[in-house]
Amino acid sequence: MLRLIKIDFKKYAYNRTFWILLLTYFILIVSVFFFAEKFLNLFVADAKTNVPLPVPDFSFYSFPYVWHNLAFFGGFFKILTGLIVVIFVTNEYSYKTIRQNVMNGMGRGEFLLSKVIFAGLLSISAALVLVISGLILGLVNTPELRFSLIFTNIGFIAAYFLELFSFSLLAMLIGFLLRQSGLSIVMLAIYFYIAEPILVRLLPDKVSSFLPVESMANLIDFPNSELMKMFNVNFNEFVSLPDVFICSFWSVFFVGMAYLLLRNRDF
Amino acid sequence: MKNQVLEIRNLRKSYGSLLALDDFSLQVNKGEVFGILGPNGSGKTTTLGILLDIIKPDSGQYAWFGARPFSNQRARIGALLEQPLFYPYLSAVKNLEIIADIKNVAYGEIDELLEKVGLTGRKHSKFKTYSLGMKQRLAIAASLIGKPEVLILDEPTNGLDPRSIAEIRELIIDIASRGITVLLASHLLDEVQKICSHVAILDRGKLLHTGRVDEVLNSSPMLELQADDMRALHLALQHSGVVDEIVSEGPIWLVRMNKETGPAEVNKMLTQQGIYLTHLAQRHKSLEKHFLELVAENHA
Ligand SMILES: Nc1ncnc2c1ncn2[C@@H]1O[C@H](COP(=O)(O)OP(=O)(O)O)[C@@H](O)[C@H]1O
Ligand SMILES: [Mg+2]
Repeated sequence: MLRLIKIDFKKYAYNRTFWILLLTYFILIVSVFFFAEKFLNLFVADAKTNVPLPVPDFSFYSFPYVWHNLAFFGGFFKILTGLIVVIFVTNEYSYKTIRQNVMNGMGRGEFLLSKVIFAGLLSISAALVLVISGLILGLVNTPELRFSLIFTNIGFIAAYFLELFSFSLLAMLIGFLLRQSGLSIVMLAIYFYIAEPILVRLLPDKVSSFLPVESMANLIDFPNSELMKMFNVNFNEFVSLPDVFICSFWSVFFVGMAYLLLRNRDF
Repeated sequence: MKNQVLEIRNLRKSYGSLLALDDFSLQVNKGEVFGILGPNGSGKTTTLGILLDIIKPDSGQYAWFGARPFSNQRARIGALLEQPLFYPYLSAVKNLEIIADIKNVAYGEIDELLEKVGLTGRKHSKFKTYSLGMKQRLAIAASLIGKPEVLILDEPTNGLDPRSIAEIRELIIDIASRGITVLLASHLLDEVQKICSHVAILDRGKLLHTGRVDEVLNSSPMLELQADDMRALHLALQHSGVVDEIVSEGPIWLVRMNKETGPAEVNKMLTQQGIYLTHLAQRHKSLEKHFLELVAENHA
């Protein structure tokens, strides 16, 4: 496994596109984290003018809510980590280096594993950005800071990782299946933005909650705010355990399908 | 059998309705320089691709070093397939390091290999800035990483200028002289004739002939003979009893001797009869001719 990481490290570390994409993603996601509260309070301020009740400001960054809030909003941008994975899987086909890797002694399963590791490390880095941003924002914005508060609800960090990882694996499978970067990106986007949302509309909730992207989204429910509580709307304040299982199932399924593809195909 | 490096049994591969490889079997022993000779599209790359696990056969087996194929074995095999395949944005050195990592060997020999193929001056340039010849040289260097016991080369001189072709052939001959087994696919007859000890002739996915190159060459030697008195020469040859066929070709007689008689015996016999040769030369039936005959038969 260390050997595989070593091999793949060179493929990305000296690739400018990789760094540009990764940096763009990090800058974007950190901006989202740091400006989300201001953004939301604009709506709250707007609501204040129309509602006769006293509406409290959105307490977005205080521990322990910060983990849930950041994880929820960060999840919208998983298409970007998926994009990075698709690009680097299909690159191996356009350069035909998958051929070269295998003929030089990489097993077909090893090749797949190297890309699973890549998706995993990418998702871990993204989760680390969440951890660092959350710590900074939480420490600055929590009025009565207690140590135990920091570690409450850190399950959302793991859920965030799972969300990104399973989506990256879907992206990886599409890359292996279609082998062409443009086509794969378009198909991933179509599935993410169009195909599954339509399916979710058409199918009853009981069924649609088993769909991959839907279950990834359901892992982390909409965060409750004081505003919502006032209107008696209550969302799940914990990571949804059934969805953890569904997402894990899909992750295993994507890797398994990719393995079957790779095992039987010519390069 | 310790000596057997590769055994191929009844490989078959089709692409849709096209049968690219039809019941192909072959044995390669240690130290042989085995040429797979065939016109374009005859199935050479398909065969080598199967041996390297990048193409899955429909049926049939092969064994490397007497064992069923598994990925680690390929660390003992160096290969260059069809075209050089590298990461365009990485330098030659980094590309070779990746291959060394895949084969699980140290980077120590990389500089030496780059020197050998004449790329030292450009070793830190990105692969995409290389000319075709440089790319091919890098591919040769890559195939030598990890001191392979077997070298697989698919059209290694394709698209190169004459000087590079000569250099690369020299290099292959040099490699082969160190006891490394070589499997070379080529559509160029003279390449196989110059480099290989053994040849398998392939056409439309069928193995037409296999054997030692010199056996194929020497299957029917012809002698070119000339003397001052051509009529007396003809008469003497006709009555010698060792000649199968005499053909006139311009100023000379082209003579096919029976198997046991070499040029020395012919010369001696004629001298004893007072006929002194002004020209004596041996003409091999070229591999090309043999090859074309076999291919023509296969198409008939
Ligand atoms: N991926 C492929 N799909 C369809 N046909 C192929 C493919 N690869 C090779 N072929 C066909 O199989 C035959 C053998 O090809 P190949 O092994 O590349 O021959 P060679 O290397 O001797 O030129 C050719 O007719 C070629 O067109
Ligand atoms: Mg070929």
